Parts: sequence; structure tokens; C-alpha cells
Amino acid sequence: MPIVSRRKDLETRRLTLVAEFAARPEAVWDLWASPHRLERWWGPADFTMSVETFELRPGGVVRFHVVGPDGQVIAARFDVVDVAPPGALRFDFTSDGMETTRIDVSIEGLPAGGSRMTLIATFPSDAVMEHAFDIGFDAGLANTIERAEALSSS
Amino acid sequence: MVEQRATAERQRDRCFRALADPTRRDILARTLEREHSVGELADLYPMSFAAVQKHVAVLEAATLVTKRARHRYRFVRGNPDAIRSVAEALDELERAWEGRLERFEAELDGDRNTEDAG
Repeated sequence: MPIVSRRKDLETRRLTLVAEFAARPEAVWDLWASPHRLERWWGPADFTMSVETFELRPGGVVRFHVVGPDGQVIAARFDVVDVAPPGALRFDFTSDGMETTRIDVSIEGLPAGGSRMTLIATFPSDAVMEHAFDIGFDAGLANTIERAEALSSS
Repeated sequence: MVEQRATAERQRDRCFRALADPTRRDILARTLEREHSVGELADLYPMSFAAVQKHVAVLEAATLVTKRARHRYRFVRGNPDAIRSVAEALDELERAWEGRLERFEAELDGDRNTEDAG
């Protein structure tokens, strides 16, 4: 498991994952910057991904679809916001029928060799949902969720 | 499956909208603790019975509470499962990214093995 730390923040509706790899930052970056490499890991597992458009530049679009084991097809896209090889990538990820998620990737070299990749997924960016999250995921709601969990497990 | 997912998204969206209001969050918190009649709830807030009824209806549409009638009264109870599904949205996202990062590492290891072979 390459993940060394994870944090979920309901208030900022963010998931932060930090992963470390033995490879250099340039090699890590290459997995994002090449459509053929991306096709091999993006997933989900058991799905085959085909990239149709690959414009890895600010304002560019990466358009692709994935085909599931039972033949189901899901179209998806990245709307690229920022690209700074080999250290930073920011895009909005939208998949069929799902809310848009903002993805921030940063890659840095480690002193002892290898690299650290930090991935922040902000969920979701739709204005209505954002508003709901802003006022909904305050301490009050966190308490409500905790209380509900305590109630349902007792 | 896509259809199901879209339905789940709509349901979640309804939940978030319902939870965006402080009175509704308070109603939810109280009815999770114990069942309240609509009349009891109406006494708690500086608003009309009809207004409280409307808040309850929004919560009910989001399946955050359930309502049952007994004699002349309507009783409201919070639904812990629906609340949990809100928190699960983030869990789901986390699982998807965990899988992705596993495959990412496997793909990087593939590089190294190729270099070793060459």
C-alpha cells in the first residue's frame, strides 16, 4: 500500500491522500502525462479505459471512456486547470451521472530518493452542493452524524 | 449501475439540501434521540405549525426522517441510515482513490522491472 497518510475533512469536503513511491518525480509524473500510461492505472479495476482526447494544458480536456466487464460504458472527462511538470496538476474530474470532483496532485522528490505524491480530492464542486456543504457540514452536523452512528450501533 | 448511481446521487443531493437549514438539522438531531410529535416540534421554534410541518416534509422527502400517525397525532423519527449515507459519500471516494493508487504503484513497478531487464 503506497499510502502513507490520509485525511478526511467534512468541513472542507476534502479527501487528502499522501503516497510515497520508489520512483523519481519525473517517472511518477509520466503516469499522469501519457495517455497510454493513464489508461493502465486509472481504472476502476476490471474496466478498460480508452482515451479519446488528451490535452494536458490549462483549459485543455482529457476525454475518455471506460468499459466494464459486463460491457457497460461510462464516459468521463478531465477539465485541466493547471499543469506544471513534473510537480503539479489540477483538474476537474467528471464522470457520467456523477458530481464533479476537483483533483489537485503535487509530486515532490524525497531527500533519500523516491517521491511523495499528495492528492487532494475536493468533493463536490457543484454550487448547490457546495453551499449545502458550507453550511451543512459544521460542527452541528458532525455531531448529528456521530450521534446517529452511536444510536445505530447500540 | 450508472442509473442506480445517478439515483443515489440525487438522493444524496436531496439530503444535503435538507441538511442546509439549521431548523431542519435541529429537528433531525432531536428526532434521532427520540420520536417527537409534530406538535411538540412546533412548540420548540418561533414559527408557525405549518412552517414546522413543511420542514418535516422536506426531511421526510430526503428520507432523513420517517413519519407515522397515531390517533390524531403525527410522530417523527430520525433515520440514522440516511445520515450515515452522507458520511459514506466521502468513504466511497476514498476507496476509489485507494484502488487507483495501488494500480499507480503497480504501473511504476512495471517501469522498474523493464529497466532491470534492459
